[in-house]
Amino acid sequence: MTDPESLLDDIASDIMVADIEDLPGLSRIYEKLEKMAAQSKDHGILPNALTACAELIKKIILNEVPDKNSSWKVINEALTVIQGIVRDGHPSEAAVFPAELGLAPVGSQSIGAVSETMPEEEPPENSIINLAGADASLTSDFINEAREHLASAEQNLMDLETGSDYDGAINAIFRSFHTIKGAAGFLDLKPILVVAHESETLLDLGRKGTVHIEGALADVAFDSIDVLRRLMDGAEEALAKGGEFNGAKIISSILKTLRQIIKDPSVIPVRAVRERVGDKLIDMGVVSQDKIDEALEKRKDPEERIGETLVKQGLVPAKTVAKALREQQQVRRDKSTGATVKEMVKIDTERLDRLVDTIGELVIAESMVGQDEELLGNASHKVARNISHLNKITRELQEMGMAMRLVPVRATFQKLARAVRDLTRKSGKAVELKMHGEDTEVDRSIVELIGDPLMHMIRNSVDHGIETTEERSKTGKPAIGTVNLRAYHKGGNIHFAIEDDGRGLDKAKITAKAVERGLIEPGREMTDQEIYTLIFLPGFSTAAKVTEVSGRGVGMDVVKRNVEAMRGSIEITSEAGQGSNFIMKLPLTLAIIDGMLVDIEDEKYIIPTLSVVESLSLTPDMISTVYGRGELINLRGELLPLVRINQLFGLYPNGATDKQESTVVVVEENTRKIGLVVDKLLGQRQTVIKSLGGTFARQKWISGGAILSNGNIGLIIDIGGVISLASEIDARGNDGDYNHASDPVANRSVREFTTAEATASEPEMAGV
Amino acid sequence: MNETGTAKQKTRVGSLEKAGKYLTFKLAGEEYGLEILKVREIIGVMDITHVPRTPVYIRGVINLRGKVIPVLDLRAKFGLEKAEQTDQTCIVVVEVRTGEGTLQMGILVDAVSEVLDIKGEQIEDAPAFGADVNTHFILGIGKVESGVKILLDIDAVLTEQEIPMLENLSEGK
Repeated sequence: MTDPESLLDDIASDIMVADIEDLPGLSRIYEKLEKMAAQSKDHGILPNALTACAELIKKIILNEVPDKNSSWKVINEALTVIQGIVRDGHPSEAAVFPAELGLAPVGSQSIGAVSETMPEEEPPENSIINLAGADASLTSDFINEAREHLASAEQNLMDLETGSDYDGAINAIFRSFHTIKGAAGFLDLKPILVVAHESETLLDLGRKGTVHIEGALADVAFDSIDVLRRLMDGAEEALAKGGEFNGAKIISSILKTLRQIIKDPSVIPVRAVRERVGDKLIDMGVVSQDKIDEALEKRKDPEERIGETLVKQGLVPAKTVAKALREQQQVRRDKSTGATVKEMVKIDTERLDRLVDTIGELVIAESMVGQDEELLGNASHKVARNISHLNKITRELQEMGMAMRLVPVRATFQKLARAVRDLTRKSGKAVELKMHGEDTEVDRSIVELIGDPLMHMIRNSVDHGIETTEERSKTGKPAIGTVNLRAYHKGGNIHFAIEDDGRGLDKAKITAKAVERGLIEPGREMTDQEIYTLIFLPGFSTAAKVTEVSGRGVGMDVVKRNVEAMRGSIEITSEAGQGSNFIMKLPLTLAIIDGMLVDIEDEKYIIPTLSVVESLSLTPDMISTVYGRGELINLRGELLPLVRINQLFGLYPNGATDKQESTVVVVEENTRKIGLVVDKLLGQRQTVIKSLGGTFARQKWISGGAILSNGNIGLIIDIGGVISLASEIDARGNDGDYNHASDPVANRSVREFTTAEATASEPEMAGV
Repeated sequence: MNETGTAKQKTRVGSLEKAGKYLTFKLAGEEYGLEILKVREIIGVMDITHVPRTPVYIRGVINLRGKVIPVLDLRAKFGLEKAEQTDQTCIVVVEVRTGEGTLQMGILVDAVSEVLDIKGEQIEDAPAFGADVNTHFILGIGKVESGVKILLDIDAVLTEQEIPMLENLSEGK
């Protein structure tokens, strides 16, 4: 018995020397191919390919092919591929056979034939990723790249559904899967390969118009993306351990679904898919959601457009549908303009950080040269010009460097859009997610951390906040609920606001639940904020029924913990029946801030510009005092407490505490306004916040340092920290006539002991 | 001199071999030594930004090529009198180990002298001075030809007060 390799070589050399007209020679090749096919039975696609080649040779012999020469070429090509598989160990799944062979052209561009040859049952080796001895860098590169492809496929899939450029989007998705498949084949990651292949086939059907990728089919495609993601995770894990990952459980169901659809696209369960024209019609008020659902149930041809269905069933006049369609087209046109694809390069983050730091130093070194008096004093015109040129370049570099660490929240938002889409399909609610400020830039480290909390909060809004369509129509709200997701910078923080127009938080229900769960004592009086914060307690959930997405009582407490771990906070406002607004406030650990550089006793501080309301020069007659100590200024009728930073920070190098000239910077934090007294305003600066490190973690009045133009560090004043420090000192300064009401701690204990006597006139426990 | 015995007594140092290269520096007329492996670099004194409402021995922060590091005034820490800065004054950047990893810190000294190779037998335990002198920071006393060098346990010097702050941070406060 000859081994396949030498047999193959034998065949190859035979083919090389053979002539198309040499019939005995051809029949010898035919016999050998048959023999080899029989020998390589359990070699995946190999026997099929061999048999196909043999058949083709037979046809040449029998003169049954239109063009013998081209068929001969096909056999040559096929043989090369087979050699690749047998000799070089290429994975057979990724092999690209010439289409003329009539094989399931795995991996070829001509996905003509649907994969009848793919076995129904997955061979076990197809579900195992074995990465023992794999090329680690190659594989991890693949995993990273594949994840990017999946993300872009996901985005395109969503575009596909919102319907801007169907063909463009579907081709892009197809390419993503195709690339993953090709690379997975090369690396012999079988489960990834198989899933990518089947998904690709499905998309190809969509590309050719056999099926329309939307609704349930898009779900399947989304599922494939998820499965592939999990396989990537598995592969990553296997790579780390240098072992195996069995993806059998992950892939079996999706493969079954995919194959069923590919075999017979009509098996897709026709779910009540809300289509876009339908939405439009609902918005126009000509038809209700129920009517559309009903119409969809009744329609015979699942391919039929919703507009047609509605007209056919006499629900909507054709003219109205046409109008809706026109408007829809308009929206599509609007949508398709503007989005340009940017090219990206991946960079090791550590290198990036080093680059940014070095640029910062370059800027400083440059300004030292540029401002050197000795140099400038003797500078010729040429030197001066060169210095200014250098200055320009360094500024530009600096800007780029600063921007490099920041990434827009867009990618995170897109993931949320996907989540909302899935949620609405699962919960049967109609929800529209409107995103604002996707281009708000956040430090990379924050972007990585906000995904989960935002996801939880969005889920919460969709699942608990937004009512069902029936409920909404009863209360006269638009049938489609709206969740607004906003990102914006405010007061040196980044805010993420999730606002829904749902039922709002039910204070009575929350309180009742909290009492029932034993989280609070019955009869306790609480402010609205206190009640709202109850939902962040572990084990709290008001959802009447546990759904797949939320209502298990985990979630909001985790959100709160995560946000607090980032030193952020969550604020809730809500109005019963009108909706709720969750605002997640996060600090910009490393983000660029606009700051006002000020001079205080010859030391430089930076006040975040976003907190600054205004600034004015201070004259003694503006100040009024309380008890001879507390200073207030009257700002157009508004009395603001005055904080002298130099006293607060204990800075008296010049001895003079009573200055003639000083400036008040009015700052606002959490709706509290105070006036900060500084010596001089030096102008606006854009700086990167640098952490001062753990050593100064307790110095809450300083949020970080910024490197100034002379290379020194300017400290960034934390307005909230300054306010609390000032009031703390104030409270301590009042030791003689200790005032319980002004001290939050004392106030709390008083409150706890005298709950029964608590009256509305008692000061609110602000900030407790 | 039984070295293992002293190591056992000073559990903070563990079984760390004390013999080795030390960077010696001057502080108020006294000579100190720092394990050379802890020293990252020595830089001339630069403008130090004062951080308000911090202990006196925290001089402030400096910009070390784009990185902000705290600077500790060793004179203030040891309760020595304040000195004017001279052109000899410099900042020794050291790396201290903390529970979370390493932390760079600058320490302000009057002048750096030299790197000395001190042998094990030249090192003695810090004598007990009574309650007046805290010997916590002292790894040992090195006796070399040029005189007596106080070998500092820099981790202990820097961590005694600062590390609890750091740990507060890692708890998310």
